[in-house]
Amino acid sequence: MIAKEEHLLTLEAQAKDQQIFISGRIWHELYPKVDPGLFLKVLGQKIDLKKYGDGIVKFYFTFVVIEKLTRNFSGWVGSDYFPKRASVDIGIRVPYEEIVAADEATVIRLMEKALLEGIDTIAAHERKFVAPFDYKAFKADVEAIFAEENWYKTEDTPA
Amino acid sequence: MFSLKSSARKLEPSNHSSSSTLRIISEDNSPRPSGWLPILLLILIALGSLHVGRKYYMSQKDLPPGLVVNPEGDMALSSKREAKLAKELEEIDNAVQYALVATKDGVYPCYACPSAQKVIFLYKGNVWKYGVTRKEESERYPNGNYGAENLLFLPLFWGTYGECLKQEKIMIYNYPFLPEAKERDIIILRPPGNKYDS
Repeated sequence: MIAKEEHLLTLEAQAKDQQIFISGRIWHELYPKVDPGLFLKVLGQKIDLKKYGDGIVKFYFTFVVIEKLTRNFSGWVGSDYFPKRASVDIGIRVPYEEIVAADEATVIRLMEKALLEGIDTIAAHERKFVAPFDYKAFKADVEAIFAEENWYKTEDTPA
Repeated sequence: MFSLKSSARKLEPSNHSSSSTLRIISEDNSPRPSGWLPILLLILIALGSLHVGRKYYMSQKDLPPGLVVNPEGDMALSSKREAKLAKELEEIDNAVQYALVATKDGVYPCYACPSAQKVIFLYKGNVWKYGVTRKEESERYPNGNYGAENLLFLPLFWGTYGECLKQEKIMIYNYPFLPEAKERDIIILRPPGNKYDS
């Protein structure tokens, strides 16, 4: 096996342990102004879901930044819990017009707000949890990360 | 029914000429009865009977699910099927052509690579797949819809389904000319996530 293939397989194995999945459905002109990758990277490094219980082992979150959402795409927004996978899947809409008008810091604030709002929706699924999960502590830890100045500016983030 | 009185007529000699021609004079001004009126009534009765008969016939017929008999006795789409038609027409008019791009550097499945290579390394922002969607997606779970983890859904074009399919083809065929595709060690014909040209 050549070194390059080994490297790829190592990365693939690492991906299997991933707990936090942050994505988006974003009008292409607003990318990378709206960059879920910033949230994915930092929360992926700093949050360990096992700390809060086994009720949620995978957290999927989607920022929806679309001007008009027709009826057939309304399903992009919402919150679901899947007991078989012990995963939660949340889609929250971020106001399109506000994003268009916002500067970088404001965009981050709007995205933070949406993500915290998404964590709040977990409460509605508590009865279906396959095991306990302390979503309040999860939210508190995420809030603490967001409270740090320039939390999203990692070493390799372009200035 | 017409009046018998109205049909009473008398004949009297005409004053206008000396000849023995006769003039018909009605006793009143009511319309003259005619022979076609009973026939018309019979036709109306026959039509009415036909309508009632058809209504009865339709109500006795086994209709497949989705069809109903309306109060007029005609066969019609059920409200559920009508709503389904409207929804499907709306879906055709409201489609989106999108790109799935990597949200982080890493390995992703590759369906367009040479057969021995199952995965490909993508940098954040690289295109993994172009696609079209028009239907309501039952789940928001990215892996369920996208085919791989850590992908971002970027709508590129909104339009009818046909317009979006054309746009998708243009994007897929032109993929090898993107800088990110040209820079790799291997040149692939389509984006890694596109098995086919559509």
